[in-house]
Parts: sequence; C-alpha cells; structure tokens
Amino acid sequence: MSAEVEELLKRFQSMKNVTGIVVVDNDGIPIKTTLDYTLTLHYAALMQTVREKARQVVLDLDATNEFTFLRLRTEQNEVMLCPQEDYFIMVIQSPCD
Amino acid sequence: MSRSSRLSVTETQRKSTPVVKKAVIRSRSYDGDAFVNLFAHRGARDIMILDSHGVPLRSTCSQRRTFVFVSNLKPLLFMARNVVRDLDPSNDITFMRIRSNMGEIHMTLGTDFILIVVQKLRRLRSSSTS
Repeated sequence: MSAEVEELLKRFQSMKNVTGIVVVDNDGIPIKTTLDYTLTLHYAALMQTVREKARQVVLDLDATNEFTFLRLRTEQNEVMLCPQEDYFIMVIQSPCD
Repeated sequence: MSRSSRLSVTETQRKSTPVVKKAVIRSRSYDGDAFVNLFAHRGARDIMILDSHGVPLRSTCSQRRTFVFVSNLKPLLFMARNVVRDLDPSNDITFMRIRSNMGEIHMTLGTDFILIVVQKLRRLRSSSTS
C-alpha cells in the first residue's frame, strides 16, 4: 500500500505540468503532500465534500455504478481526484491546451 | 412550442435497443443537428442543455430521465463551483468530468448555459484512470 502510493507519487511528480499532489484519507486528513500546509488543508477539506457529493450522485443515478474518477477543469489549473478505498489522491496540474 | 412538442413525442426505450452507428430518425425539432449527430457518433448517450440557473432547456432523452439527471447533477455542479471560488476567488470552473464504472458525465459550464453529456464506455476497463 505505502510503496505503491510512493511509486505513484514519484511517477506523477515527474510529469511536466503537475504542480501539486495531495493524498487525503477518508477523514479529510492529508497524509502526503507536495504543496504547502495551509493550501493542502484548504484543498483537502473542500475536495472531500466534492468527493462525497460526487459519490452520492453516481450512486443515486444508478445503484450498480461506482464513482472512479473526477476531473475538475478551471481557468487556471486542473484538479484530478481519484478515490481509493481508504484514501483519495488529488493531482493538481496546469492545463496544457 | 418546444415544450408541447417534447411532451407529445413518445420515445422508444434506448436501453433495450443496441447501439446503432447510423443516426436514428426521430421526430424532434433538433433532428439533423450537427451538434447532436457529432456527439452521437462519438458515443454520447444523452445530451442536455441547461441555462445558467440549472433549468433544463433542451434534451435528447425523455423528460423523466432529464429530470433525474438534472436534479442530481445540479447540486454537484454548484458545489464544485463554490469550491473552486473558495480556493481562489479569481478562478472559475469551466469543465467537469465524472467517470464511473459504466459511463462518464461531462459538464461544461459557460456563462449562458450548462451542457451535460452522458457518455457510455465501450467496454469495462478496471485499470484505466483518465
């Protein structure tokens, strides 16, 4: 588990556009981060609510469906959120168009 | 005009029929739209257009299905918009994609409209994360 997460973080961090990686557990506590502390807490708390809402929406639309990925494109950056069983990984990158 | 024509049309069930590559002829006001044909060719299952307040204006699926999607996705859209505004007040959301096991939901937020495209995956891929 921890070795896989470390490997994933290293692989994501070596990509060109990635500006931040945050791993948050199910209680909203950030485990690993590459951003500074206050920004990490802010992202973790807010994206936790979005993740729960997205999971509820997907379950409400179809009970056999399962929420696997969320990509949130904004004007300045792009937030990708991948929920796992005990945690979720959030990758923030600058969009390359 | 468009509301009464939408109510009077009976829609065939899309789940039972297989995915046809050719465009199915339907008696709708937007039949032959290049927009709908393009999305249908690329695997879109349903297309909904809402105004900026979340009221559905046009849709390619039935009224009940449109209502189910809009009532579920509208709170998520506005929550995501508030989250992005909270992180950085000068930032704004432009596109959102939710991927699940069976399909994807794409949401485009413009200044005047919200576009929702529900897309079906070709086959189940358990290892893919995009």
